[in-house]
Amino acid sequence: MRKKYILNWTFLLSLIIIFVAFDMADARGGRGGGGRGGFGGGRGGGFSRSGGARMGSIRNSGSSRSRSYSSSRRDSTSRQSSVKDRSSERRTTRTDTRSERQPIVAGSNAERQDSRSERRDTRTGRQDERNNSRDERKGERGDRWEDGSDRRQDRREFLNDHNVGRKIVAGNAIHDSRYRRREYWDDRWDYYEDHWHYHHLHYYPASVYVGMPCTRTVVVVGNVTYYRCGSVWYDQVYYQGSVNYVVISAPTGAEIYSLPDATTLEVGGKTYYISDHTFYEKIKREGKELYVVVDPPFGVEVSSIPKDAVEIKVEGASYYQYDKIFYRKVGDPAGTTYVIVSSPF
Amino acid sequence: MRKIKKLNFIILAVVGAVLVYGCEDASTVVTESEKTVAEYQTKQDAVARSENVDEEALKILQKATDYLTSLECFRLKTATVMDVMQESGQKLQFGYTLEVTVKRPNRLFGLRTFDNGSIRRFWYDGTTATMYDEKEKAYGKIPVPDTIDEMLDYLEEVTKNPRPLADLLYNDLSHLADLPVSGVYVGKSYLEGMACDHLAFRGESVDWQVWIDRGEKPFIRKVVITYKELTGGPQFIAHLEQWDIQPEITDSLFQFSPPEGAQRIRVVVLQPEEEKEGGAQ
Repeated sequence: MRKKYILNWTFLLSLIIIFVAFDMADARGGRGGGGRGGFGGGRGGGFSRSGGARMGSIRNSGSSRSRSYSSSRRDSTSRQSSVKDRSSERRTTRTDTRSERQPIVAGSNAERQDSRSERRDTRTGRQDERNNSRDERKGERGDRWEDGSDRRQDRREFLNDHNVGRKIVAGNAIHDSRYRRREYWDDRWDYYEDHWHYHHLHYYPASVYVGMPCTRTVVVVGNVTYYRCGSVWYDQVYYQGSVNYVVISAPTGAEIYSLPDATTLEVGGKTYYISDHTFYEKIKREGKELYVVVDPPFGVEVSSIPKDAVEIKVEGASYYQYDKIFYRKVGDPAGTTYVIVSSPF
Repeated sequence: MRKIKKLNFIILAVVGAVLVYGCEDASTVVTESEKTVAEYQTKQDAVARSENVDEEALKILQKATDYLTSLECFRLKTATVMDVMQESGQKLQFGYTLEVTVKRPNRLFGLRTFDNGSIRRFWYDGTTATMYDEKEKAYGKIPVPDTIDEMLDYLEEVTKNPRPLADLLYNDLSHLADLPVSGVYVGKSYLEGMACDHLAFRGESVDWQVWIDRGEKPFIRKVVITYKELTGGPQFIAHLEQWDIQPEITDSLFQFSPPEGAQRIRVVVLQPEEEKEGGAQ
């Protein structure tokens, strides 16, 4: 009888040890992958030339801070599936074409397994870690860094000084200039309040690519240079200190002479030509017909959205974002369609 | 037998009551104890650190960093190599030369020439950071904090723009002495004929070695950073070949004016998940 008890206890202890061991292994794996996943690949023969954000200075090597961002980037389940699809698609592209395309968004898929509640825990933990590491670094940053509120206050002053924290809603004016269109990523005041945060930078919810999947075609629209690969448009951006590419929607004002496979749609007395999720209007110049990219009219229902569209949630509502175009899903699962809506930001 | 059962029941009830009472006050108890534990841990860490960091090594390092931070202006030329882990697990090494000019407290200019021919410049004028890629003819420009230290922190932590050699550019280098959890004096070492002291430190997530000139001026001559938490333990190695402590410079060096044909591009960071879901939590 006693033997049986001892055996049971041994079994229980073994189980605990196994669980703990797995848990630790997971934790290590997660950290290892964090923040680096997106760098495999790039220009120059498909090799990554950047060590990633974690190969930085000794000063910022404190594990709490270097890990915090990668934790905060863990994605929700809804995003997870889209990223998974994307990564498998990516692999195919790479194999077929020795493409340089490499979404930096990803990290390892394993990194994305955490649920929202786990993320909250991580954030709490992160705060604790930050507090501890701040103590350790006392004297390093002077009084300014002594506690979070001081730090936030400092950052807030910095933002105020730079007139940041205002919301720039691009709306229909986004086509006016490249910068106006870009600026609608600004305004992250609230987020900044709780975190360590950003200003005058542009958030990008979609993938950032360190290369393009084909030889880029340079297209100048209104004195602004864009890049095209098939029907997908790209914009150059600085990401982690070097020039990269992001997928964008077709720039308003871009012109094309022929538009095969376009469907037409009448809205408010205007005829739109739709091809690859892009809306065009037909114009005539010097006797020749051509098609000009226009902003899609709000309220129009479409049957599908671009594959690079990313699901986002704003105040609990779900949207699909493709650069400056926002969609909302409507209808039941059997007959899902999407409606083009104005920016929720 | 019945008595034993009764006794068991009483024990169970007492244990239960203690547990319930404990739980009721759990939040305050945890908060207080967490605080105490954190304070104790900090003290313990400090004691452990002082025990593990060799005094001689720390003294030599301190001398070098004191000297470096005393320089109001300097120009430094380095040759660096960096391991980059590929998705396949293969470790590749790439290199670049860096020429950086610092004018304390808030001017900096950097020129990096990569081994693939790419050239990147960086200007910091006390308010704005500008990065320019010569090949792409593209520049990004963002407002940044008004000291070199805060600006470098900002770039590294916010834009995730890693700058391993940034450690030598801060106005305040006390972190180099504060951060290590252990440090040793490895020995005397010659770098291209120059006698140096070789020091090795271990941090939480990186190990690093530094070679300091034993001459009249304690210049840092070489830095090796090992990112031990990253798979494959990639290293960053910098030979600090030339130190110019009286460079001829004008303030225009730190000002960016767009070259002809250069295009301004956005500086982006990937949107954190919390952010995408409607801002502050």
